[in-house]
Amino acid sequence: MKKKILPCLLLILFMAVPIYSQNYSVSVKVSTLGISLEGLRSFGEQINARIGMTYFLINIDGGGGTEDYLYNGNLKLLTLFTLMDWYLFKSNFRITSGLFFNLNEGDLILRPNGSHILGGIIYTPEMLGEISTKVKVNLLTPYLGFGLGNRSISEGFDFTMDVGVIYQGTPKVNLSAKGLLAPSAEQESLVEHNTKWFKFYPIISFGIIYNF
Amino acid sequence: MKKCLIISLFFLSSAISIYFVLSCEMTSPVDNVKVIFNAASIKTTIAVDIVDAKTQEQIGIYTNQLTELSIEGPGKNYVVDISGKSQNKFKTNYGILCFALDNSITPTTENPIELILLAKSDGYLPVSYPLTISSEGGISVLIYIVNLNNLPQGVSSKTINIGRTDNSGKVTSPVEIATDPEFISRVTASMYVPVGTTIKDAYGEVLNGNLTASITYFSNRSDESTKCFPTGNFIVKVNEGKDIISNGIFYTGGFVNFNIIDESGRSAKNFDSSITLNMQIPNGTYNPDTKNNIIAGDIVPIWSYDETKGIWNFEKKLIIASPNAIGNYPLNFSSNHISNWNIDWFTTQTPQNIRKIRNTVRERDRIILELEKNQGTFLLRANINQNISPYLLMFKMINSSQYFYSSGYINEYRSFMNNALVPCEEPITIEVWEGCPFRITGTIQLLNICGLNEIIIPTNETNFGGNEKNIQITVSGYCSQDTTILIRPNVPIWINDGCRWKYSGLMENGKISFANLKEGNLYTFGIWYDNNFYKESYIIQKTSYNYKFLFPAELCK
Repeated sequence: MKKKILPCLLLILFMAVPIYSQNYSVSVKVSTLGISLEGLRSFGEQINARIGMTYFLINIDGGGGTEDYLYNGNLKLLTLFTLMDWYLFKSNFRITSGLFFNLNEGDLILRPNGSHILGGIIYTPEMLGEISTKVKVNLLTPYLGFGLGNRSISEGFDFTMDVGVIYQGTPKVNLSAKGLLAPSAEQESLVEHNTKWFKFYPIISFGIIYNF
Repeated sequence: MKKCLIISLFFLSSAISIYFVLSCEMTSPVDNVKVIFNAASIKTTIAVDIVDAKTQEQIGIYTNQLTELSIEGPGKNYVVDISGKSQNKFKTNYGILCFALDNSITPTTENPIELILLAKSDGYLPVSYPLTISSEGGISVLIYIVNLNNLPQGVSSKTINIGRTDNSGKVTSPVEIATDPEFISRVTASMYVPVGTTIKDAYGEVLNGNLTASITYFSNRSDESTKCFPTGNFIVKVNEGKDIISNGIFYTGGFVNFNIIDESGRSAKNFDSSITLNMQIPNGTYNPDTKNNIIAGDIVPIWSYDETKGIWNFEKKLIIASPNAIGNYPLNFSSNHISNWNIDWFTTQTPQNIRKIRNTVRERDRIILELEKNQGTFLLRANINQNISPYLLMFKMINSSQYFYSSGYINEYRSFMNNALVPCEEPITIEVWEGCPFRITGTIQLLNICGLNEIIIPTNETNFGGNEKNIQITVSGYCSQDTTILIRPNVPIWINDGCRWKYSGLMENGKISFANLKEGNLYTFGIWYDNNFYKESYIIQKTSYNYKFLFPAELCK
């Protein structure tokens, strides 16, 4: 059922049904979800529809030296979205809502850096193993926000910005561990509990828009 | 004006959004999260209970009396503490301790590890306990030790000051010491050392100054007494002469510990001239050679114990003289050394006439012992699913009344091992000891254990009933330097059900399960490390408990 929602919405948005004056726009933005590309169509002076995607990927390696651990992490932010803008007071200020198809996820692998001695036993990194964490959120996440810009009144470049949140639900944490560190994975529910507050993901974006 | 409104609206919305986000109670994802790892597993652990033979309590468990255990024998270099650190000497103020074998060695029936456990505590008779380990796993050892100020039934003891030696270490007046008649059998033992005798310790040092002599007699007519047999059991290794070493079983006629110490604590071993020792055999003693009670003219071997090797050395054979007025049979002989002296008939046990208890199953009203023919030592191994509490199997010879006991408890989930030889074609009683107070809950008499494949011992259901819970305890240790790291140990664990402390199995990776604990009852659990006994009590109400404890600084270095 969920799989069918997004194509249907896209179809409705871009059906060539002239109601009011219609303009098309494209925009490039920098946002808290990465780089965003979107296409826009206005349905009169007060309504816009948008589709787009955001993408961001970062890999971090660290630790070692005097640190107890080496770590390797990946953060992948990938969303597809469809949004509706509603302009108030015939001004640039708008309220925006819509749906994000959220493929964001992060993972982190932690490995001991060097051997440790407890009693008469040397615990090598190979014996200790590693701890892996994967975090995901809900696939379909609603968005509510407000912003400035996007009004396709005149041709050319314009400024646009958005502030809002997506409701992504409680992050799903998958904790696993190998070797002697295996019991660390028992704390999966604790980590999930600690991230319970992170149900809303803040979106702030700035960019430029070109109206055709 | 309109622009102003729009800007105001924008900033108001932003402020509301920021407030909304910040008002969340944000905790770090790793808040209270620890790095938890399992301690490297130790394949063979040995849990030791050093028990007062009279009170049946571990020495010092309520008084903090110190007991020292040193480990000798051919396998001593494999001994490590429970953290894997090489160690041969242990101290405990609880009568409870544990050690392990280095993981580099795998004990097998073909290549067993042989150890001598030497236990001593002030006011107690030292014990030398030979231990043969022939498989990996958790092993339990019970060492009964005699409190000279609170003697068990069947034991009599006498200690006297026998004066000073001269400057060259010679005894200046004849030494004569005898025990009072033992209460049950009325047997006495005595020693006579002639004047002018020079006494040396095991290292050849001459004893000097003020001397104290002691004799402790152990009757073969009492359970409490025979449990204190110097090697801990009647399953023995003997030197039959000319260094021919044999394994087998003693049928005892009683035993005596003779000792003389000087003011600097040196203990007598050898004499430069003969001394006279007198022992008696109680009337009614079973002679396995004749399959009857002893009579005058029977022949009995005499053995002395080598504490450092854990071997009984054959000394001589004596012809039993006519009984004395009480009916006991006196034996007089001379020797130029003293130690534990033993009147015993020895029978070699060949692999063909030894059975292995492959498995034991605890059910509500019985214990099933599954037997199999075994080429090697007789093993007890448990794999119990419905146990209520640890229990102890005792093998008692019906004719001689002496116990052969598995020196440990059998417990659920954990494999338990110890050597327990029982001779074929000899009537025996198997007793099940359990509960609080510790008592016999089941017995069976068998004519020949080796003719069976399965033994079913009916037991009373006294320990069952009421609301019972199966619980799991998770134990983690941490170092003071970094409390964010928790270590799950592999250690033996003891349980106290309000009655007494009992070994209860090997905790693996910080987890151990207990079946059928009484709901609402108080249980205390303990683990021992480096002379610390970490205890935690729970009134049983739920099914899982977590316990964290601080590791000693020494371990965390």
